[in-house]
Amino acid sequence: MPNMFHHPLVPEITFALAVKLIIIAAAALFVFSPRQLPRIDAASMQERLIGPSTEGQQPRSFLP
Amino acid sequence: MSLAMDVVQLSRLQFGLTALYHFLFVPLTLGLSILLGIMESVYVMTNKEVWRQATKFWGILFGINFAMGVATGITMEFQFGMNWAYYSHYVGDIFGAPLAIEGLMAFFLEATFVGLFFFGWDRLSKVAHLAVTWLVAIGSNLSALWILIANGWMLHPVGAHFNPDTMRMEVTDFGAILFNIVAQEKFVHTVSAGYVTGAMFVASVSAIYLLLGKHIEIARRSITVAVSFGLASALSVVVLGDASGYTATDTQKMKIASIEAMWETEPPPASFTLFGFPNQAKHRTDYALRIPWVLGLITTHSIDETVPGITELVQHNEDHIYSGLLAYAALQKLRIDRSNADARAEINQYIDELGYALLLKKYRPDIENATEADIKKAARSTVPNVALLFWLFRIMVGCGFFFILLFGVAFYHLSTGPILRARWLLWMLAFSLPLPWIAAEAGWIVAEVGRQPWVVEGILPTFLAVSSISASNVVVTLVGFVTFYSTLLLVDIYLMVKAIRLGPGHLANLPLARALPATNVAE
Repeated sequence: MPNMFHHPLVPEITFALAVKLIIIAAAALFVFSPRQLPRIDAASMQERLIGPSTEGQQPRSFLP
Repeated sequence: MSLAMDVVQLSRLQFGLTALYHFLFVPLTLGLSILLGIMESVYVMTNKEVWRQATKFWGILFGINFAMGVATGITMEFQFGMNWAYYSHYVGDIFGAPLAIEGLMAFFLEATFVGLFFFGWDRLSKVAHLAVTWLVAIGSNLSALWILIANGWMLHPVGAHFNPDTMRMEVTDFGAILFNIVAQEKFVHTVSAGYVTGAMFVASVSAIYLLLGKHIEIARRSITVAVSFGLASALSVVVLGDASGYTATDTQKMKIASIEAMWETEPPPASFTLFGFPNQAKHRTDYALRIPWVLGLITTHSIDETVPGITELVQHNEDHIYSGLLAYAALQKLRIDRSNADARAEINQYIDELGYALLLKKYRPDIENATEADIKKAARSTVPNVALLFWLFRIMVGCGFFFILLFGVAFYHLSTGPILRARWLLWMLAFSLPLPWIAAEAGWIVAEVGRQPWVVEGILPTFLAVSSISASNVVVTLVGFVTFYSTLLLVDIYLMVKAIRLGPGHLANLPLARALPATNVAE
């Protein structure tokens, strides 16, 4: 009985899978590699959420 | 597409399109894997070769979909780091673990057993191969569980707290994240939708074979399994969707109000708008066709509980913004003096509302000087796109009820006589093939657009989660992804059609795989 290795679509599926994985690997290496990722730490997160440091500024009350 | 679109919109579009493409492959994998397990179980129990051939044939189609779909989700993880770096920092402590476990499930458990499924037919015993098939199904479903735990946390963040020293959310109770009611309900609803997709796929292809008079023995058995499984799954989707809606009435009030275009709070039980044209600018639904009581009954399962309308929720959100500004002010105090115990206490008291204050950042950087008008504007921004949600939700639900009807009628015909006599039904099954994908994609858009303006509900606004990268970079990767995924989809369809045209006949030279006269089969 023919097994799955001998299915007529195996070469096409293998080719498509290989091309796909090469494209994804290339994207990971050249577009989304760790050296291209933005580096975020507590300081940059603080700046994003509560803005640049303004020492001495007194926050006001926001009670409705 | 215009380059004037900002990075937030482009990144959302990129992530949304990637997710929608990815979810073209996922539901079929989920559904077909279970159907393979059922068919092979019948083969092992009955020892009838036709079931082995059916399992192998549908296994080929499962394999094509798996091969084209595998790793298409990984590009979303690329985007978490690149486009959503602030998000990844802020909630990575919670989000990272389920994603990592999902990766392990997908790449090790699922992929290993998929290999054994295809190449183990002549090497493993019948029972061992059956175990492999079920492990493929379990692996696929567990992958979905972990990703939906992560997604469920974005909709209903539990088991975590904000640490002002690290400026990120940190896990306090992993069990709460794991057993998050929203995640669990979303998981069962989503996998059930996948089962409907798999069932519709098998039923549609089998219906085409029956109409053409080809591969009838396998098609007749396959359609019986698919219709029975599809009916049970379609009923589950609707029941579990109702459970999700009931929970969302507590956890995502604005999403429910927006889906129902419920502008004002009504006395309980609220009416359901079956049809209409929501007008977001004027807070009204034109040409609305309302059914009394139904919304209240569906969303609260009672006749005396109120479903808050959009206007009321916006007013509540104004209060949240005022409280959030207190947390924001305390964070500023803490930045000046890290040992300020009063500021820490104030942060702990109002931290749940901090996200609401951050909504003001869209309108002015110095939110501590926000005016009442700014606060009203920010509160109004908590209303998502009502018309989009209203219509897509109705498309999804309409499809869900249609599946129950279609599978129910087909089940009746299968139970009472040969389905071949009902050719109109076979045509309906054949033409219904795309509907589960349309319903599933509509459901995802409702879930994710309905969460806006939040990336994590009530915690982090989407526009603050995006990285400081250039729009042109996002456009380049967006075009690349769309081209790549569209090609992949076309290749998937081409291979599927080719495999369906080849049919199961080449898998074994068995008489049963050849076409039989329809009249014989009808007996």
